Amino acid sequence: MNRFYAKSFAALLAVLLFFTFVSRAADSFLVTCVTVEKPSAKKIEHIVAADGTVEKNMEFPVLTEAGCVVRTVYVQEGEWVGEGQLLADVLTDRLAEQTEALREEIAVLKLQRDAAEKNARLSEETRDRQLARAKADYERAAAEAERAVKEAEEAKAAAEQAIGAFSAGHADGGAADGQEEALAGLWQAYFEKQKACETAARDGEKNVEAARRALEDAEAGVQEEHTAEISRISIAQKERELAGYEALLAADGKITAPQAGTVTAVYLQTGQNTPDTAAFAMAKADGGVRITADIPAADAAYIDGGDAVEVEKDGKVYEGFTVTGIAQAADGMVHVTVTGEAGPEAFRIGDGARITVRKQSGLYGTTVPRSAVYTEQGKNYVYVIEERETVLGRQFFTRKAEVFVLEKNSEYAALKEGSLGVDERVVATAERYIQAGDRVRLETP
Amino acid sequence: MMRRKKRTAGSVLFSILRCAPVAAAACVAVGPVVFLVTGSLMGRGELGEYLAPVLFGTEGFVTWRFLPMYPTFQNIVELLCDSPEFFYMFWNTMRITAGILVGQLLCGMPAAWGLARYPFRGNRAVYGLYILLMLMPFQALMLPEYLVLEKLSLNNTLWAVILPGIFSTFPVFLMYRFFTEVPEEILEAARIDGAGEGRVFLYIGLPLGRTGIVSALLLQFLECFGMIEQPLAFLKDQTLFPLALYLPEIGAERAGFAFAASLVALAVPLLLFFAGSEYLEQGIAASALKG
Repeated sequence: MNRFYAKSFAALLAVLLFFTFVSRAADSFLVTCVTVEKPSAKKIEHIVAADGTVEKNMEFPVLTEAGCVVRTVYVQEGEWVGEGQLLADVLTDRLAEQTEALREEIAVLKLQRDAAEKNARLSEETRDRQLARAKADYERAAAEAERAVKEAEEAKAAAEQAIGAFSAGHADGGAADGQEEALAGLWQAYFEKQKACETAARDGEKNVEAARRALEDAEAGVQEEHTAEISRISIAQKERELAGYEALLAADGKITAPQAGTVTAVYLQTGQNTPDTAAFAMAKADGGVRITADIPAADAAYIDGGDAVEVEKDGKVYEGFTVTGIAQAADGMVHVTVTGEAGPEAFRIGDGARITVRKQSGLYGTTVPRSAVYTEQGKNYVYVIEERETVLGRQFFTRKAEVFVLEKNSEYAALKEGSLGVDERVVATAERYIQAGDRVRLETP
Repeated sequence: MMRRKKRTAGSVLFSILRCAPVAAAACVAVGPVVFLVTGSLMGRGELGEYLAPVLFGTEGFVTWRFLPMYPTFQNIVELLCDSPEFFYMFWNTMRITAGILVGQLLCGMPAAWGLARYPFRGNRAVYGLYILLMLMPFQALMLPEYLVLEKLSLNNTLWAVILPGIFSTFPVFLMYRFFTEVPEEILEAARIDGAGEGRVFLYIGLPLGRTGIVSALLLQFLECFGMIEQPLAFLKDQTLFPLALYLPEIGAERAGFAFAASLVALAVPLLLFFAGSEYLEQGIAASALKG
């Protein structure tokens, strides 16, 4: 035997043995490791979760008298207070001064009111008297005008009769020169009477019109006088204000919570006057908890008003919450409002809380892990595993199978019936990018 | 000087003329090996350019370069580091070959010794039967072998290839020839000295017949390493296939890889051939002259 070639032969076998392991190791390293699952029947549960904020709910104002100087504010926003708890107080000596000033002001107003009432009565009497006079003048002018017209008409009628009588007496004889002059005189008298009648009518109308205008002026000249009424209203207002001051003074200037709740806003500042609006805003203790959160618009499709909500805060889960509001927000988000009954001590305004809404679909016959579904050019597909006999034994290869996704959540996707066989193994996860026809290795759990 | 010079030139010319046909034949014989070596060092693009008429059916003729334009070890590296199936089949081949050779050592060698050294009635008939079986092509034996192996539930196992190989008649024939050459006197002397038949076989027969044994094993190795028909007939499972069935499976688009795989597959029997060439020559001579 040729030793050199014999050794070369042995060396070649050794090299080939070495590369047998190398190629196996490289192959194991390069083959993508995948996990597979068989399609199963499942309900698709949509879990929409978001971090929200506890908001004010059922707010009411806490009022106090305006213009009082605030001495101390005892609470701050978000603080839970019981009924009657001291919220703030005002300077009482200043309050007493203000009360006294108000009383004096009321007294002045009352004097003004009395004077105004008296003046009003006098004005009323004067007006009545002037009106009565104007009315009497009017009636008298009307009567005089009527009488003057009547007298003129009677004179005119008498002249007319005279003409008639003269004409009847001289009807059959020819008219003499004296007679014609007499008739002309009668006619002249008639025309004068007629003119006087017209003048009387015209003068009468003029006088009546003047009297009527005087009456109208008398009626219109009456001015409304409300000074007394205004004074009475002002007095009432001041008295109410006084009552408030007196009550506050009686309470030693203390402003207290009218009922239990959370202070949502403080409008007082030490040393400043109390405003004529609310001093505090509070949320009712029995008004429940309101939480708002923004969720992506895509998730909003799975939320309806009235849906039960699970609220998690500080590691504790609260139930009994419901969705009470869904509104569009900016940036493709949807604003969701959740309310429910819960201990107000646990939910302070401004606190963070996580809301979770769970909604289950009907039962789908074919569901696969969401991670198994790939999308390409608007079409969905999954990779299923095929076994093939190869030189290295039975090996697994991927095959692309187009599917129609009916519904999906973050974990599973429901596929149209018949998309996949019940025994087909679907690639759920792959440690590397895979393509159809790739050789893969199944990861054993 | 002039005469000598003329003789030398004529001698050289004569030598050239005499060697030319042999050299041409050698070139033709070595051509495929060179083809393998250069092809395995060519990239896909270069091979595609040269072998396009064969690989892609384009018009024209295949061209070739004996030195690659862009030499690369890509095919070799791919073969060694990224082809576990090649090694799987290679070791399948080695398992089959080793099984057959070991079996022939255990069965064929005693059979040849028995036929050569223990004359019995019908000895020639048995030997004639061996010759007859040796001359029968595999196609004639395939069906009976298949039926027997099927009955033994050995089909689609490596034993389906190994067992018929173990009982191949050619090694017996070859070793028989060498065992008959062992002088009877030496054997008698051993027996007189108290050696049993087993010791005679082990200590006298085997050493003296070593040339025949080695040459038989080498020839059987070469035959088994390139065995195609038997695995095709008796094996269905690809995981059992030997390397000879893998190489044709490599697609035309991986021609460079196929060249590299063929080169490595060639290297193994080639080294073994060179290692045992003297034994092989004697064995072939023995089987040719004394057959």
